[in-house]
Parts: sequence; C-alpha cells; structure tokens
Amino acid sequence: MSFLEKISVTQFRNFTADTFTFQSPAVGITGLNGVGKTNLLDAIYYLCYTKSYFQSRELNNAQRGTAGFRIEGRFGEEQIVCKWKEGKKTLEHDGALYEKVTEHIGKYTAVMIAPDDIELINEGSELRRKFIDGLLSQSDPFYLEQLLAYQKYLAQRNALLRQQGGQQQHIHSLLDVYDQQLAQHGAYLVQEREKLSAQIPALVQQYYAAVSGDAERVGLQYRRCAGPQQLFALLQGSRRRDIEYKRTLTGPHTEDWLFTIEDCPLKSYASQGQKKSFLVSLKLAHISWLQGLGKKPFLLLDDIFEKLDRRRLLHLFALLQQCSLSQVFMTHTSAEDLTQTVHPYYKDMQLVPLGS
Amino acid sequence: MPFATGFVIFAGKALRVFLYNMIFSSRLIEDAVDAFSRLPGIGRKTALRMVLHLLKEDKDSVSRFSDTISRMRSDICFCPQCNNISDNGPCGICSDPLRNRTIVCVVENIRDVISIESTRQFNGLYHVLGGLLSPLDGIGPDQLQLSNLIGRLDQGGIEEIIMALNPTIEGDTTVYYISRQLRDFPVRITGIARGVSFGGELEYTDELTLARSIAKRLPVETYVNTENKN
Ligand SMILES: [Zn+2]
Repeated sequence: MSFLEKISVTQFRNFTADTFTFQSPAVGITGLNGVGKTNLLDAIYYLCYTKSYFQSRELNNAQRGTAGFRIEGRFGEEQIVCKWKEGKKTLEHDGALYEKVTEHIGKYTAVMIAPDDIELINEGSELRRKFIDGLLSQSDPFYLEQLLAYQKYLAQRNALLRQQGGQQQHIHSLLDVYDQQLAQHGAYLVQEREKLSAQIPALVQQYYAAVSGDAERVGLQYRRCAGPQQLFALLQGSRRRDIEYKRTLTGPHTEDWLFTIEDCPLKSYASQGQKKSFLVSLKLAHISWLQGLGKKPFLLLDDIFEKLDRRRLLHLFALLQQCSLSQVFMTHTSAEDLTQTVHPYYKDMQLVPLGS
Repeated sequence: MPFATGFVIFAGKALRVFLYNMIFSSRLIEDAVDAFSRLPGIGRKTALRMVLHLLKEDKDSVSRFSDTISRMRSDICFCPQCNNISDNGPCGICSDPLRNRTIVCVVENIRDVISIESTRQFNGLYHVLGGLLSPLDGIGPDQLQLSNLIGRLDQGGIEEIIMALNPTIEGDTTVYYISRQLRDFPVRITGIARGVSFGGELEYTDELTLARSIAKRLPVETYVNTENKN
C-alpha cells in the first residue's frame, strides 16, 4: 500500500479548488490559524472513511454558498473520488462507482489526534460508542453491516413507538418482529464489542505508561446492556416502559465504556494532563489495533504541538517510530518549530505552507 | 482541472433553474406543461415536447387520448381477491381456470406482479400487499392488504405462500410479520432465493453477499431440479 500522493479539494470547507501533492511519508502543514490546516487533514480523513472527523452534517462540509463538494485522492496507482451534492454521496474507485460504501471502508484507514478528542472523555456515551464502532467496522465489514441494519431496525421500532396508532394487538406483533431483528443483529455487536473490550485496556495501559512516564493504572470498562443471547428478553422486558416513553430505552445503542484512572472515573478524577495522555494512548491503541489487522493507517496530527507539552510530545514521536504507518500529516502554525521538533524523527519531512 | 469538474457538478442545476423559469406566451400551454411534468421521470423540457406534439395532432385524436387516460383512472378497479388491477371483479389471473390455486405469491405492488408474470415461470396466484411495513413512512399493519390474505387462507386450498418481497429492512420485517400472522395455518411459507446472481462471478461479488450466500447454501440437487413444477 502506497501513500497519498495527491489530493484535490473542490468546494470543501474553505477550499474553492485546490490541489496538493505529497512526496514524503511525513508532511507538515503550516500556516496561521484559519487558513484551513485542519480542513485539509479532514479531507484526507474523508477519503478514508467517506465522512468527516468533525462534522456529520454534510451541508456544513460544503463551502459556504455552495451545495456540494468533491474530494479526489491518488494513493499510488489508485484513484478515489468522494462527491457529495444535493444530499447524495457517491464514491468512485478508479472511475467506477462503488455500489455500497461498505466496500470502501477499511481499504484505507486513518487515525486522527485532535484537540476536540477531549469530548470523548467529557461528553455523552454516543461518542465513545462511535469510537468503538469505528474500530470494529474498520476490521470487520460484517460488523458494519450488522450495525447499519441494527440502526435501521431501531429507527423503525422508534417510529412505531412514537405513533402507536392502530390496533394494539398489531403493534405488539410488529414490536415482536423488531425485537427479534434487533436481538439478532445486536447479538453480533455485543459479542464483538466484548472481544474488543477485553483486548484494548492492556494496550491503552501500555501506551499510557510510555506517553506519560507515570505509573497510574488506567482502564476502559465495557458497560454492556445484556449478554448477546439475552437481548430479546431485555427488549421484551423493556416493552412497557418503551411504550410509555415512546422510544427504545435499552439495547446495544445505549451501551457505554467507562474510562478509569486508578479504578475511578477518569472524567472527574484525572487532571487535564492525565486526560491528554489517556487520549493519546487510546489513539495509539487504535493504530496498534489496525496494524494487528495488517493495515498501515494514515496518521493525522491536528494541532498537537500547541496542545501537548514537550515531554509527552517527544514520547509520542518516539512511540510512533515503532508504528507501521502509511504517512503522517501534522499541522502547526510555525514551520520553524515544527521542523525543529520532528527533525530527529522525520528527516525528510515535506512542508506544505497554506495561505501564502 | 478540479475547478472544471466542480463546474460540471453544478451546471446541471443552472440548466434546471432556466427550464423552471421558462416563459410561455400561452397560459393554456403552460398549464399543459405543468400537468405533464407532474409525471414521474418527465422534466419540463420533455413535457413541452409532448405538448407541442399534441398541438400538431387533430382535435379528435387528442380527445381520444385524454379519454383513454381518464377512463383508465375512473373505471379501473382492484381485484377483491388479490388486490391486483382488474377491469371489473376478479382480475385476469384470479379468474384464469388454468392457474394453480394452491400456491400464492405475496408481492409488494402491481409492478412486481408484472415483473414476475413476464418471467412466465410462475403459474400460481398472487397477493398484492400495497406496500411494506415501515412505521417511518407511516405504513403499519393496518395500511397493508393483510386481512383479505387471511380470508383467503381461511377458505382453504392454499398449500404454499411464497414471499417475493425486496431483500431490505422493510421487506424482511414484512416477511417475518406475515409469517407470524400465518403460523396457525397449515401452509408452507417460503421466500425467494437471494445471494450471488446467476451468471455472476464470485470474484466480482461483494464479500457480504458472498458471505450470506455461503451461510444460506443450498443442496446441489436444487441446481438441476429447476423445471417448473407448479
Ligand atoms: Zn386477482
């Protein structure tokens, strides 16, 4: 697998029509705040996963005043084109349209480390589920298919609960069907989440020690809703309350992971520095997980030079030397500081100045 | 170069805006164009071509044309048995004495009846549901033609029900729902085969379809035993 040699972005965020070529496995993107350094990283992320790391409303990804965008990338001999216009997304590989997005996911992988990641610790369970689901979808297209099916059945079940018109008996028979489908697809989700949750904590702990140089115990506990075989019973048991609240209150879509430090919740017990170390360790665990699948991810480092202290930064770069990555992209406001900091690790870094 | 492709994306929109603002010198023409462009797949440009064509025809033939359409709409009725379209009473399929009345194929809509009939491989009867279960689209069990399917089974004589519904979330939900509703009837419920298409090459089949085809594999006898038995 080769690295990203060229990217063309059209009407994506602040880019009207720009093309960038890359010759090195390490690329430093520099420029003042607001010139679009993060947007360029996100365009690369978009090519890998056909979605933005930061913005899930596609219209907000289009340049202001336009109704669509296009991102085109050349990975060695392969050409990937993502287009979004008038509410429709299309994806091309070497000029041929993919029928399903799931055919593309996992082909190119990326790991982003960005200041916003702190939300993964501080915000609700949805972000943590997305993170774990992302890991599993990248390694297993069947997981992604089960997840998408689960979400569609869930939307139908919730719509039924909201309406609750018609004959009560019909509603219950239809809810039975949805419970069965959710239990069937959900069982695989729980089973795979369980397997992953057994492996990830050791990795995170190992990286945490290396990044922070500290000896605290950190962890990641899976809070599952029920065992894979108990989902149908769980939904049946929740039926009366679901009808009362007009939505599906329990199931794999409500599960969470508790991040811990010394067995206490990380969110309230860790310092800012400890949280940053934890997040970087989580991302390194992600890279290591992808490597275990035989993949060489792209690493996208957004604004970490100003957000991480020197000690952690140098530990991180030392650890990255042992990772097998396709290419590293880093943003920094100062070309000089960037070159100085990473020179010992990436001697042939290419600088891409934006906004000049 | 990227700019050129970006321009192509949005040129289509500009053209549509232009057609939408087409100015006609006649209110009558404009109304007719509006009427035609309400049809699926007909844009205003095509609608205008049709209107101008009708304008060249003589008045009688245009009246016959519009009569045919309004008679179709006002006189058409639905088969009381299978909900297929019919000219009056039971449809042509239900009233055909040569059809096998022990086997009923359940489909979503009339278009599916036409597709399956075109294959000339099925000689049983149909049952048109008129939709698939999808609460998101406001379609629940009460919106489907289910009670007369149960009525048909109550009358007896039906041995097999084939569920020929789309392999989607809504299709599968409908299949499971109906089979639960029918579980007390002594009837065999089958579904159409899905997976790798015939003539398709495994190498070019996406891995999920392939995985499903392997999980739902069939005895090889069914490969050769394909003559029409119903
Ligand atoms: Zn009929």
